Amino acid sequence: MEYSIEIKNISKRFRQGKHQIHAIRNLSLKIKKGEIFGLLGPNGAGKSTLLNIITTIITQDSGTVTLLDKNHQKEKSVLQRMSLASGDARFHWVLRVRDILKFYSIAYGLSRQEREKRISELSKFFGITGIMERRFDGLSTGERMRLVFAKSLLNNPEILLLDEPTLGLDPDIAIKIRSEILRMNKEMGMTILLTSHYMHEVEQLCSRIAFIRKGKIVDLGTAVDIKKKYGNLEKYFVKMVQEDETEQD
Amino acid sequence: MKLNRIKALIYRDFLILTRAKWRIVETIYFPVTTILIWGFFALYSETIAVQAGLIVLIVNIFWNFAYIAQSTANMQIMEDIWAGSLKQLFLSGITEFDYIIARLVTATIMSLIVMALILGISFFFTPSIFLKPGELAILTLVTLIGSMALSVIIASINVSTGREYGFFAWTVLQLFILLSAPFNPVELFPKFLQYISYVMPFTFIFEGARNLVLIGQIGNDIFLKSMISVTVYFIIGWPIYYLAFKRARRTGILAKLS
Repeated sequence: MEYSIEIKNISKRFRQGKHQIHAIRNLSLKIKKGEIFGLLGPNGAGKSTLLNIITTIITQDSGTVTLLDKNHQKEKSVLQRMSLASGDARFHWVLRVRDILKFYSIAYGLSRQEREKRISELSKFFGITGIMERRFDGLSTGERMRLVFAKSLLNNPEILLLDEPTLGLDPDIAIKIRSEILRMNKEMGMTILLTSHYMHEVEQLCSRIAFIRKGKIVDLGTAVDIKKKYGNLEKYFVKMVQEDETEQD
Repeated sequence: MKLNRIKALIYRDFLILTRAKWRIVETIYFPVTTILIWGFFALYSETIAVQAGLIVLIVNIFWNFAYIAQSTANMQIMEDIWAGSLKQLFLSGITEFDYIIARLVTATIMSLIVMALILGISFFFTPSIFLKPGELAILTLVTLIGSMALSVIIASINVSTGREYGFFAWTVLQLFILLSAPFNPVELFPKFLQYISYVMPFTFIFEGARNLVLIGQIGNDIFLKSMISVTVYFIIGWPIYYLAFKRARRTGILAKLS
């Protein structure tokens, strides 16, 4: 079995005043090549921390992350084969859509010809050709998300991390974004690791799901397996949040 | 380090600089108006004390040049933090080194343009300061290195402390200038301040600038001291910068900045 992402015994603590918060506890996970994998969990469960560790924005205290058979801390060039599209991604407010795409394609080392071709393909794919001359601060939430997707595909990534990709979007745009995620996975064959709060989203998109809670994976399997086990994902999620709240009280 | 990444960042810097109108105002307006103010003072002072007016003018030229060179780099970093775009940059394979080098290149280009402009204006007030163009060029180079060194150190502070202490980007230089005894010999400071002043990156630069007016040359020893001083700052800056990023990744500040 070939894996795109192998996470082995990752732990991460953060200091908050005199206290230490255990954000990730000895977490291990393997994600197969070409699959869409969903990471579900309540706020503060460790989903974003895990994505930040995978992208090296946060360094782990212990454990290893292997991306496409390369240790991501030792062979940083592997990061160029990966991308992250986050629901809260931001760009400089004065830059236009075309500027942003051009800047990142230069940064990825695309030649002028490749750059023009790629930007044209992606702007068509995500339906942003009409807003190429608009400034980032003039875009709607849906347009921003489509730009984030287009930017994240400039380097033709083999791994795509999606952090809450439909958070705060209108239902019609969220539906479009979901179908685009499926299309990217099918047509481009990329491995997708997705975090979400929406049960139906992961059910619809993901071949496997992991529940993360207090920095640990508490369950992992196909949506069908987990449904069999708990009735439905929504119920299980609510139960987890309630238990967390009770413990905090 | 990859040239394409640095090229991309510089390309983006100039797009932002030309599109964000307030940045153009900050970069050009303040140096130009300051030099005009002190230029007229220098004209007036010809009747009372020629050298005093010239000293004020030449110190202001290098003060403004240092400010633009340092603040251009650090303000760009703060803009990335304010815009929340820093994480996106580092996700694209841009390294800490690419990031700061691009900032320094952009700041160098911008500050040299501003320097040419303010020197041009100064020429109309006091052509005499252009009698030694080689010495002016040397002082410009040393000031540039000193400002770049400070940019790297202030970038480290901004990355370690986050948005709350962003004001360091445009305020720290003022303190360094003040402690560098811009308009007076260091010996006029109280003893304890003299010790501090001698380790400031701009102290010998200002002394050299004053010498240029007073005796028509910087002086070899002053040039050497100023060069050593800025080089030390430049060397110290890099490990601090790398440590700041390492800490920001370890503590999660870098993720929060974005």
